[in-house]
Amino acid sequence: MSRTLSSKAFSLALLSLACGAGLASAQSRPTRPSRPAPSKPAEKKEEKKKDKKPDRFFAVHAGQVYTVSGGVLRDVTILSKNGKIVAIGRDLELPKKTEVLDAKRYRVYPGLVAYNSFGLVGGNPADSTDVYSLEMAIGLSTGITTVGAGNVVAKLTWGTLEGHVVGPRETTIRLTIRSAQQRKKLRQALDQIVDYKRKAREYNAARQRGEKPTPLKPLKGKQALFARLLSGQVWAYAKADSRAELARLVELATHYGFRVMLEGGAEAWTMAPELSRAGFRVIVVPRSRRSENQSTNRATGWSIENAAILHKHGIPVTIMSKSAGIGLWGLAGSDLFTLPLEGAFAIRGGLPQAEALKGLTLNPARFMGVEDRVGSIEVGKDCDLVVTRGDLLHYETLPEWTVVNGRIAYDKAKDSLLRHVRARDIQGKNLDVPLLWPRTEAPREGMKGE
Amino acid sequence: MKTPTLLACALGLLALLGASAPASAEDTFVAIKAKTVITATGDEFSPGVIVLRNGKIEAVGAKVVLPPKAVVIDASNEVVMPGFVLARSFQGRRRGGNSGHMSVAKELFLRPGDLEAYAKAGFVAVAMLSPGNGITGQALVVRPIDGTLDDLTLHGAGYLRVTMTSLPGDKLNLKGAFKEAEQWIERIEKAKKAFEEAKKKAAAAAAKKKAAEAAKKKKVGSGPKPAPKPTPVPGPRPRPRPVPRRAPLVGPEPAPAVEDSLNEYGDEPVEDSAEELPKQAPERTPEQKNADKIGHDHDDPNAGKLPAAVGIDPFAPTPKKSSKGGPPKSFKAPKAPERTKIFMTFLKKPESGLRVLLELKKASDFVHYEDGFKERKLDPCFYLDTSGMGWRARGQSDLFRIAKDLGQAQARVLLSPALSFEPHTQTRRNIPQELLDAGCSVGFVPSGRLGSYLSEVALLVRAGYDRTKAIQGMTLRPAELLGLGAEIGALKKGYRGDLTFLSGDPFAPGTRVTRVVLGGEEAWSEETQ
Amino acid sequence: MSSRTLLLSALAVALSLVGFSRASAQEVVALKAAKIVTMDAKDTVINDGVLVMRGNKILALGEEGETKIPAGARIVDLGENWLVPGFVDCHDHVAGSLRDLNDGVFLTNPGLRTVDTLDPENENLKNAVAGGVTTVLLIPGSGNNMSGFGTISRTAGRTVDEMTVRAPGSLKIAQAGNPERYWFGVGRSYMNYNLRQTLEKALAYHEAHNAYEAKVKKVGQERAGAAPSKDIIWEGFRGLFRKEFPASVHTQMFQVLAKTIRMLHDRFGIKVVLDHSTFDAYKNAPQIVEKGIDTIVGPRQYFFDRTERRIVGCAQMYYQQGVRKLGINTDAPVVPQEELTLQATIGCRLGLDRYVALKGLTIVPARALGLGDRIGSLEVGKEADFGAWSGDPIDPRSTCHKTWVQGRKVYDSGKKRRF
Repeated sequence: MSRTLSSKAFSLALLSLACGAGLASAQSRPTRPSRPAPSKPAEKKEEKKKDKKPDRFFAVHAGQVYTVSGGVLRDVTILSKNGKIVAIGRDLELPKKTEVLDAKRYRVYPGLVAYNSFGLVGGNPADSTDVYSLEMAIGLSTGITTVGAGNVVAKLTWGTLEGHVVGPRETTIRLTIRSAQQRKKLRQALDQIVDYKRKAREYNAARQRGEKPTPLKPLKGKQALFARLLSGQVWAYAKADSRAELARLVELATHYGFRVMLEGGAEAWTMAPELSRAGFRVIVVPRSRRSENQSTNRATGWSIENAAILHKHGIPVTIMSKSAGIGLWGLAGSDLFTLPLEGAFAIRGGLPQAEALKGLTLNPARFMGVEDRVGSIEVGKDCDLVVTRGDLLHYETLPEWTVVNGRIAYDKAKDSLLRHVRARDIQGKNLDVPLLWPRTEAPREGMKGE
Repeated sequence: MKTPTLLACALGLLALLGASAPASAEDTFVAIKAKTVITATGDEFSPGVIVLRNGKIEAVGAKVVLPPKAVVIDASNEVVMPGFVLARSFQGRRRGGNSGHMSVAKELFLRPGDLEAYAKAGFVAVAMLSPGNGITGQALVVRPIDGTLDDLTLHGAGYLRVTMTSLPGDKLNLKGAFKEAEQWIERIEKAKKAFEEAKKKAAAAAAKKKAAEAAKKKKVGSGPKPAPKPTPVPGPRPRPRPVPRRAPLVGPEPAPAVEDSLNEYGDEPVEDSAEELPKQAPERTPEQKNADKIGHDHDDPNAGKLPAAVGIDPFAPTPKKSSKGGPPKSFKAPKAPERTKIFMTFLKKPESGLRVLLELKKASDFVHYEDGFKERKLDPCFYLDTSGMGWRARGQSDLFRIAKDLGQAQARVLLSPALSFEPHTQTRRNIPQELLDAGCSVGFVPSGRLGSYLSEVALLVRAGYDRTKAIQGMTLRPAELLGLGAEIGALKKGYRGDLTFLSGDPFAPGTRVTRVVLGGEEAWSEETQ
Repeated sequence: MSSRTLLLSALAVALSLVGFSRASAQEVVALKAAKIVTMDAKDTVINDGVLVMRGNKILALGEEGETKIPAGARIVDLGENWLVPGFVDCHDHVAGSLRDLNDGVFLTNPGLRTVDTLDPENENLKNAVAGGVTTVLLIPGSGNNMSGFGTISRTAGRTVDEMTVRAPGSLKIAQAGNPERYWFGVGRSYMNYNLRQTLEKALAYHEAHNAYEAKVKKVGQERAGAAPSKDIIWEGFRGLFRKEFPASVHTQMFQVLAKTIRMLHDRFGIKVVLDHSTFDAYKNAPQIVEKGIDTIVGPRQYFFDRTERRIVGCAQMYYQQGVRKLGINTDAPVVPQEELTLQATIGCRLGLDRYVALKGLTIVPARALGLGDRIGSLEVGKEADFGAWSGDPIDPRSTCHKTWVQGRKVYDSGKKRRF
């Protein structure tokens, strides 16, 4: 008996050895490049406290992920823990109790960021937002996850206040330079700061020489803010559309050496090189109209190519809609409900598709000072995603799911708002529209030409 | 044979009466014979009898043996049920901010008949409070009878009304109230600590001085003069006090008091700082003493000492007016404003509880409440305003979203019995039912006219709400919310005899309130209208 | 030389000169495009096609290999672009002078007409062609019930005559909203009474003249008797009752649209073009389908349904219930004229089929205005109004590069880009 067993055991052992050898030999052969090593989810810390809430995990299996900052990934899983992305990769080991969203035939984009907003969150978001409001639902239905509201950056956290406020907007100094009087005051204020800086340099030099100069009074309030402006710590913020005003702005900026965040800029395309050299950032509404000035032979008026021209000259561009609210009155195309279409219009003008997407995500986040949290899909950033069936910037695409802080804040098939439009369960086919268009080059001329 | 029967009967009677104390001759009994008696505990008797003893319910049943000399109230055509309890009604001025200490009682000046409207609608207890946004005050619970405020009052602190409907104001207001309370607690603790420390220091200083003095006295009295000892320092140096310049060196009048509410630096005096007021003058050196002895008797122990003005030694530091001749013996806490006291009490002793009625209008209000105050563990009762969310949204309410959360907390909820719509739709929602199913204790308040209350609740019952739960929603549940759940709201032994008589089934159309009995006495009747 | 020879040679030169100028006007142009959306009855879409036109007429149309290009034709290669018929907008207020909306004159001003305000140099039209719009119905405003006669105008032309396709293009009637607020707020019942009595008078005039004309035909001019007096106000209505041109009606909301159908279409029997049809008027779809009325949707392309908390696309709601004569407008300047395609974009975003939307920009409004045999589609014999698009015209990412109106190129994005 035992003999048979042992012989069996022996043969088994041999077999395993052979396999092992085979494997070993297989490994020694040159192999195809292996898949990238799967990234492990962050270690789950053992909770000692009794009252501590358990970690909340959320994973999306995505067909295509448009990270915005790092290209397009295919067939990956995004894993988030307590609202932050902790891993992006294939074959991730998901902890137990992970909420999983199967989006293998869908695309995933970062949640859109609206630079300005009105009515989607409360006036004092931390203490007054209606987290079940219709406006918030409509904002989510179009893919918006983060909004700037007044001085605060907030998220459309449906049903909860957890993680609602991202933080204060990056400080900027509002400059009004419409009238000559205002410009004069500004110049005087800035000259004072320049003077102060000169005095400070002299003071430091004197101290170094060993003298005891009289100490300078520290700057306070507005002056301190201007000082930070001139030392490049904060941006100036201005609204200007006309060429003349922009020229003055550029002149001030280059003379004193500060940087400007420009809102509007309908005629900015006429002086893109100057704006670029002065280091401007522009928030563009692609179809904001301004009539031409017929009495001058310079280029004036609005142009659909505004965003494209600015981008070509290296100016970061954020795309916004004309109105920062949500309209329910029926006229579509100029409020946040159609924010992705604004991006499409910028593409009409020649802006590359990837830049238009950036202008709706990472750039507004950057302008508001929250790019460490939102604006692209990266490990360490917040899990704010938009899941779509096709190209987000195609006009027929309505988001299927919107995720905020690792929670599904909007589900098109469940929310009554747009459930009936190209309902998810009816159509099983892939509505991915092939990106053959747009082509923005002018047609090739014929032999005789036009 | 007869006697034992009689005895048995007597015993039986006693048993029936279930008296813990034997019936005395002064007990008054009232017996009510009604077509139907609804107890609100689930039992309904048709016909039914209620026996009241001294105004409290003694027995309820289909057949109850009536005690002798019971005043019988014939209600053979009426339905009797516990009196309705109105847990929320408004009187008095609008208040806002933090008025936690205020009560309508201070401004309730009633004329005869003012509360009749409540009795007419069948209410036997009414909670009144000030309207407004914020912490508007304490609810005063009264009975709808004429009389002095004392006669009427059932309860002086029904609950504290806190609104969470107008954000961010209400949220910040409540946060501020807690913060203020915390600050005051801290301040008082600090003052107490300072007082304790000062006391300790003073005691230590005094003890040390005594010891030094004793030692010195011993040394002075024995043998040749020892080397002059260094001046003993009486503890930490006191802050120099201004010497009164105008004080006469000699004279019968006391030196005019210096303005001693401010010390040299113009600061407010620190309370009870014993170190500043040593009981005696600083010790003078022997040289100083000898210097003063010129022209005086050397042996006179008082030589060199200038005769003091009456009661005052001009070289002593000026005693403070407020201290009455020494550091205060007991601790006087800084005075916190009245409105803070309730919150301070709650913070120091959370188990004392703070009965709060928190008003909500939207589901989001609840989210804000949890966000700001979950850790405080207030455990409030809730009033849900389901009447609508704006001019365009009358009757629409999204409060159904929090039914689960409230149910899990087994919260006490007060709301109108009306049905509502889901916002922006024509979909009906029965929020009272949803709350009940989730596990809440549901009480009602009329949404409009008091007279329509019965029909409102009737509509809800017709929509499927359980009959007994509806009865309780009008009676026992609001009573529990007011803290009177053991006294009114049900027909059970020991409860007050506060009853409402109806012309028919409460949920039948056309039913009216015919009379209201409070404590066995008729308080209102439609015949005497 | 003999005088005769001189005369003959002069004649020859003159004739040849005339021939030359006519030849340049009759130049044949062949346009090659990657895609031609014809909008014909068979919904033909030609890939790698060629369109041959002469003057303002389309001569030939088809796939490049199969279509004969006449000798001497000038070939223009449009590369990857699409050829799409020029768009027709039934509700435009900007082709003339914006001040002539006639909104506050009287509650009915039937005598006024917009053809008096057409301006060939109009800047708005220069932008309109950049959006591929070639024909618009310029109508006065809706501040009163009947503001005047609209004009069907091309978006380019050197003179008013060149621009005018047809005047009167339509009678503008407004049956809801603004007219109710006229003056002190006359309300709906007064507004409808007013419309009714005006049309009754016009009908009476028309019938009187009809009767007289019939009598003249029967018994001759002398025996017919005195003609009824002519009144330029009522004269314009005769074409309306003869169905030579439609009434374009500003009508929206359920009850109002129902009233329009009942009063104007059923009772007065005139050709009606429903020119807003927004809010919840789509609930009238069954009647519209049954009676075959043209419905042009805009400028509101969506409706927030407060009974079911949903955002519905108005156009899609009509289409879903079977309405096929479905068009889209801008109500310029409410939506800029060149953004007509954006209206279609919104409609499609909310569920409308793309091809149906494109149809609603081209052949459907053309037919609604009675010009279905002349414009609205690219077919042999029809007028050469079309645009060269970089792609799907409804995609905001595409742009119109060139536009031809009546065979003449009026917009070239390479020269000056406007949209």
